[in-house]
Amino acid sequence: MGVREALSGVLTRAEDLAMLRENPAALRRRYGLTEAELAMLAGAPLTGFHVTRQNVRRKLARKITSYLPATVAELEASHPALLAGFLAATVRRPQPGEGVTGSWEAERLVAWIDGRVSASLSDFARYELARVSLTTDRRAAGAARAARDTGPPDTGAGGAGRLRVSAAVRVAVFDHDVTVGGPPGLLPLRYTSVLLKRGWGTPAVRAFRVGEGTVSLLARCDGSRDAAQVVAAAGGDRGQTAAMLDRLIAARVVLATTGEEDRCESVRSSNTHPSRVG
Amino acid sequence: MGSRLRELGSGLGYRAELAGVVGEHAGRIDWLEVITEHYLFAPADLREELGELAGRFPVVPHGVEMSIGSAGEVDGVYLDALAALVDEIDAPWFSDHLCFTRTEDVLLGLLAPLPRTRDVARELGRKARRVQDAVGRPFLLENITYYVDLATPLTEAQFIAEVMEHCDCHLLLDLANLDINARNHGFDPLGFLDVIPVERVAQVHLAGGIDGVAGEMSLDSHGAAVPERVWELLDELLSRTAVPATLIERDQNFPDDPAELLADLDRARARLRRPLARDGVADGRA
Ligand SMILES: [Fe+2]
Repeated sequence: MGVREALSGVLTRAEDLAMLRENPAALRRRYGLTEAELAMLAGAPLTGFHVTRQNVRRKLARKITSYLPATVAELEASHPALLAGFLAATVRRPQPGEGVTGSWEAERLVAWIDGRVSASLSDFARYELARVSLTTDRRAAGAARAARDTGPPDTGAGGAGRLRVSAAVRVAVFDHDVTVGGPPGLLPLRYTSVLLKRGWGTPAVRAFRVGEGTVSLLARCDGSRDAAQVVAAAGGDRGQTAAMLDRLIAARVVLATTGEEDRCESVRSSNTHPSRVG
Repeated sequence: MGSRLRELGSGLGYRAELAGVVGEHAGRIDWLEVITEHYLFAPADLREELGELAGRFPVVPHGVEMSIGSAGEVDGVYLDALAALVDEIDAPWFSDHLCFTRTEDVLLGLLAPLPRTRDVARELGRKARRVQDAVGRPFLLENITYYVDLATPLTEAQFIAEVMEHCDCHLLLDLANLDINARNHGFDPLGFLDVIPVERVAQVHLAGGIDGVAGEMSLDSHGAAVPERVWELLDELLSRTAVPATLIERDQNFPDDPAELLADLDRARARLRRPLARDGVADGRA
């Protein structure tokens, strides 16, 4: 520990700033500073600390806005104190490797507002996060490129390959209908399943409302069954189920896999079951 | 890598909001700088967009999260990805800042000032060499704007000079940062230029900020046209050394009319083309 750690503390913890002002010896102990290191901090004019503390919050605000623009706009309009409270209370943590560009802060905001704002706005925030997460997911983009580059899929529910949901697809369920538009705090209370599909280029993600039957069918496309087995496992009217499966295959929501590599991917994939986000 | 770098001319910091300007006025933009982290771990379609830009302009990745000033080595995953990115777009060089942005426990998310000691400078020089070797292209280090002026043994200029003593990297001199720091902390920007090795400056950043009023600090906002003071610093720098590239940085208050940005780009290009004053030919009498 040294000057950098102590400076980071002073810039993110009110307690450390107070210590620097009122009890520098305690700050020195906390961060194991030498006398010379403490002098570097204690000799800096206080105004600079205040300006930089504000900038730390501004940077956090910019980061969450880049991920969740509509949610943040709604919070700014309807819950400014709550948003300010989040910015003041959140100390960002370094994320290793790819995490340097990740959505940690946006995830924290979504968790933070849960229970503090209307259930509608909370649902909307989760929806917006789900969309941006899919947009930035490299596997999903890879699947979207593969869909663009390959010819029309082999449909026909009698195909031989095991079926899995494309890495370009996520299914999420909400208590509110997040697809209708309008004010995020006033969405209709209506259980809604949404299929998000990553495309190549713009728009990166399209959202489709889907029924319970589709959700349950997709859950069975987990890489362990071929089409006939999926239809059998789904139960109900076999003809209708097979037709629905064909439509999902034609839309490249569901893919037939045969190769070892594909099977491994489907095992790693977390997109085959709907995430409960409402 | 201590040799002179390729002359890129007058460039613009690429932001999504400026895509239209870049598309319509490509002839007045010599090169682009992109934020490294916007593309580093990005999905393939975004990387493809970057590739298209790189097909039309020289593109330089400019990082904000390397945190070369943090204790320990630069993250290997980050460095590998950076090397791949630089290679993919055939970047003439890449850059980041003389600062730290995080400790082991805290991500500040901003460019924070380092304790300016000889030990830290030496360590930074060593790490900068290592980064440059790992990426395989010239690495430029940029001076930051800092509001906390740590009471350190070295001035900022002495610290930068010391870092440069210990590596063969180049400098990205942000003249707007220099102007703001000089005013906020009360030092002479020309004295700063006397101390740093100006011959190592390979690129300049030009931007406008927010002037402090009534004793407040001036802020580095990248949200306004380049002020006269910064142009004067550019003239001063160019009277001392040739610089291969300038770049206009704009991160907010994007003007509806691109004329302002384009005028700054043209003005920087004209400055770069003007013969050096020290050769006695600044007024065109050569
Ligand atoms: Fe800069």
